[in-house]
Amino acid sequence: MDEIKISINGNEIKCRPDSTVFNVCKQQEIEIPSLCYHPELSITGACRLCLVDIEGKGITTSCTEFVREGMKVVTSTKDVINARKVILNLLLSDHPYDCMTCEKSGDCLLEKYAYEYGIKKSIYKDYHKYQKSQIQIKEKDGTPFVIRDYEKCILCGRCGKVCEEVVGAKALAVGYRGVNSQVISGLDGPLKNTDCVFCGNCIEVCPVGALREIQAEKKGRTWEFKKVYSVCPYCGAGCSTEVFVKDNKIVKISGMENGPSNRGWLCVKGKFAFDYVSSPDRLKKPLLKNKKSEFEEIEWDTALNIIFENFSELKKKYGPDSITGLGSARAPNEENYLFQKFFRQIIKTNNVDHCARLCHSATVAGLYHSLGTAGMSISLDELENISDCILVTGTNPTEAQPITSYRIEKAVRRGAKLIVIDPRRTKLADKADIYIQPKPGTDVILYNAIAKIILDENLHNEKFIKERVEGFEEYKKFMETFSLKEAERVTGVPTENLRKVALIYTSATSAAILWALGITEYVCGTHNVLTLANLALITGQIGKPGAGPAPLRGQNNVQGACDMGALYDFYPGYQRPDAPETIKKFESLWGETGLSMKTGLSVLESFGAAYEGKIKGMYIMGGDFLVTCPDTNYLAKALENLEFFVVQDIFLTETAQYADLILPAACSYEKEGTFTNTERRVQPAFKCVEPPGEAKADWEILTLLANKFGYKWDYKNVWDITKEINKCIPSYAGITPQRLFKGERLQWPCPDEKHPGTPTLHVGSFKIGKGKLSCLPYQEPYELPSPQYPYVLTTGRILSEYHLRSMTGRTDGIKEITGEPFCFINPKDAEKLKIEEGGHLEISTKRGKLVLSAKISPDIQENIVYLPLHFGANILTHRRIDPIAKIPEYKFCACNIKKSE
Amino acid sequence: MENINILVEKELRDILKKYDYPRSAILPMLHFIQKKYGSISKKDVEIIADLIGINPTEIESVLSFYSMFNTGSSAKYIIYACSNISCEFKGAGEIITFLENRLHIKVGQTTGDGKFALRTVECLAACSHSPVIQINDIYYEHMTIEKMEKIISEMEK
Repeated sequence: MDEIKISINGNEIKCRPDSTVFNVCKQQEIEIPSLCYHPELSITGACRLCLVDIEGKGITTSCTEFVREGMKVVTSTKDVINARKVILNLLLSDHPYDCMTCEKSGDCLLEKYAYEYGIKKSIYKDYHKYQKSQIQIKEKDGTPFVIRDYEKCILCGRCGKVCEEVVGAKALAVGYRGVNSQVISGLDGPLKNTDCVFCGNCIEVCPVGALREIQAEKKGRTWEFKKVYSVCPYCGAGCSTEVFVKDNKIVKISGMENGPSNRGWLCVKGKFAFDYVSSPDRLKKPLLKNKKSEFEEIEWDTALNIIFENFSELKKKYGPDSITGLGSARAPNEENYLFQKFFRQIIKTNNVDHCARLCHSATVAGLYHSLGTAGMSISLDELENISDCILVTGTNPTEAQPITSYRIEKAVRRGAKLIVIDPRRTKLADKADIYIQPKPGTDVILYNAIAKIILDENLHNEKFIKERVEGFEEYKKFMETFSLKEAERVTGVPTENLRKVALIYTSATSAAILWALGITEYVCGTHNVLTLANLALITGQIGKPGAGPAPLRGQNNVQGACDMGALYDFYPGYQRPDAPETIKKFESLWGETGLSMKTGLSVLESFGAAYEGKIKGMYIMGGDFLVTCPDTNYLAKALENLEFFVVQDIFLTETAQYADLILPAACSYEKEGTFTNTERRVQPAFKCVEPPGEAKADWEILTLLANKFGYKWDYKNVWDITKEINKCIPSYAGITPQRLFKGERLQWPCPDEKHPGTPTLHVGSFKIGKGKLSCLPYQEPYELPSPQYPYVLTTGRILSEYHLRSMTGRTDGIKEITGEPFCFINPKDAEKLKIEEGGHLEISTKRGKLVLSAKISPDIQENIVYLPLHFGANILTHRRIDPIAKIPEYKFCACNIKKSE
Repeated sequence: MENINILVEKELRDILKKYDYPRSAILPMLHFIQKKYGSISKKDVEIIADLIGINPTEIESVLSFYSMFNTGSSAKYIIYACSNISCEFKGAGEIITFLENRLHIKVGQTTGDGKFALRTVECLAACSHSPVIQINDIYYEHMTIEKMEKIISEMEK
């Protein structure tokens, strides 16, 4: 775009013709006051404060004025200042003078400008005294999180805009007229009765104290808070946060302005669900189980000695492979790196794994096989700004990764086509160009059918296939025998609808495929992923910005924990333990000999081996596997079988109840480290508060323990470990502590210190040379409905909760909005079983039963029960795993439901 | 308050069909409901939002913007008295006081027999004919207390 010249205060300035005067001034660091402008929101010119003098036009709002060649702008004439003062006087005439008790004071824009322009009191009559009797002041109106204090509202409109333009909830808007104008929600009632998703982003943008966090009320003045940068501890979006701390307590959390993955926004969990940090239930001292099976407090040194003695003895008696370790996808990279190092270097086993096995191991296995790199192909920015077709399947980002759903919806408003394929009709389906509702567990055949249509109608990209894909001839042959009629019968989706999907997908310039656990958590999970990779490969929708497979990871460091090699089948950086060069490399890096080349055991295999008595010792660092693995009753028996079991966690979880020894860990707000989000972006988190009691960061515990075993680990801080990671993992080589401290938030691969990071993967070539096509036959789910168990049980997440609620469940407001545990059933099933909305029903499977309240929704297909996993779903699920990725089939089992009294 | 029945819903759908851009039907649909029932309830707003396929908040923000939409209790005659500056200069205040005394109600209230409701509104956009009183859909201009009395006694019959 050609630049044009304008003059500001007599200085000639070059700028883009699509800039506003306000933005050019901002770039030039000329401060112009504004209350309604926000860089991420549309421009309305509502506050009238950003006045400047433009030659030939007079005094006008700079945020709504686009630059023109030769424009002459003066930003601070006497007239301009006076005009701004009039606006401030008008605003203040309708605003209480209660800054001395206002929570926003110190961070309030109106207060700031009143100070700067020297306005002590409005020259106009106190209008708000009249106004007060007219408008209803809504305090704490039905939400446990937001205070709406509209006496302070200046009607800038930012809250309504963020609600509509970013979140898409449209729960807030300006209503009424003239002096009676007021922000309304829903039918001008409580927020609770609207589509509000409690994300709190309206609070983030409010320039005054009209919208505030209930949690922060009376917790201190803004200038008393210490502000620390961190990363949200929940989902894989990896939102950068600013944590406000006073007296070693978190007061409130905001999205970090310009946070690369979240652009400053958060969701209900990241914004409000932090009360667990200061919960009185936190573990504060090591606990040892005594003979009466009660836990008693012991000293750290004793605890570490007990671990050393027990693991040494087990190693001597049964060999190193009798011990297994499970890391955590919510611990930082450094700690997962150290955890696998502890097992590989000191215990000398590859029995180390973590919870990614239970969520996206099929993605790792599938993408590693077909493309050579297991990660999201693109960045979230590309998804929002470049992708012109987004296929969303087996994921409900609206609830499970809200920040990504904001971006998807923004892309849709920009004009990108949205295809949603999901057995359950999700919110995103309402925004989709086409929504497909297949029967659950039929993904392989469904995506094969789409591929078949693409090949039949010559919609594939021959040039791309010739240059960058192998196995096409075989694949084509395999597809020749594929029957679309059969696919229609199995999936329940008319071929015509799939043809529409094929047309939209192939006609896009850059099409992305997003998925999560609705694809992976099947006994054929890896095959499901491979069919999606096939689609991208045959159409060439990969290797360019905005295009390619884009798995949405579930936890804030699940990508990182995999990268760090907390996997039984990979060393850090996906280097195979059975390859001699890997062993040689790590033996030299760690100064060690005799590293094991034997593939280890995955999560469920470990528990299986414990059940059979083959695994004798277990060490879990942050994970409630008893309730997060399928078939809780079986797991309990496996844990009882262990001779020595250590759990390191922040709470006495259900799993920890079975431990012989419990170590109190610091949570992510209490330590430093880096997290790798779903788009492969490495972000540092800094220490906000001190851990409770004697709790320690996981890396400190592991270092102390290694030294007990006689190893000289001398990490002085987390960043020493980061430097070691730079040496071990080629794609992390350039992501050094220095660059992180400078504010760089790089996406791997970043092979050297000068490398800018890689937003788009697979450009030009694949890591394995050519992309591999796979021929995949349909495989039925393991446990099909039977006369005794005629329904299908499927599991998923809800917005307000996370996993088994050990963290989210400790914030009162979250408990309030979640309510009683529930499941969803179809209206027809409800009618058949005479179950009413809110009535109780019992779900039973071969393994156990659960009583919950029923929500009746046509979004669920008939004969299917949708159970949020947060409510102890795994008492019902089965243990059969995908033979390749070892992922359990959480998404499908046979169950029965009946009315419960 | 009467709920929208199936027949009315069909008529609402017919209004919706006239517009390429569904949001454009918000005002015509609100006018239709007001004409039919005399006032617009919260339930009506939800139904309209549902039919158009938008969030009720949007409808509410439009509905509350226009003072001519009646969302309170209904009456046979709803008197909207302009209290804006031009009408005020020409004696609107006296007329409003007269109406309050004459009908034995305050602004915002409805008479016991449900015949009259009295509201004040901001500018009816007829300042050159001030003071202006609107009763249901009809404007009465250059209003005086005498003219007002005549109109009220006529309507009381």
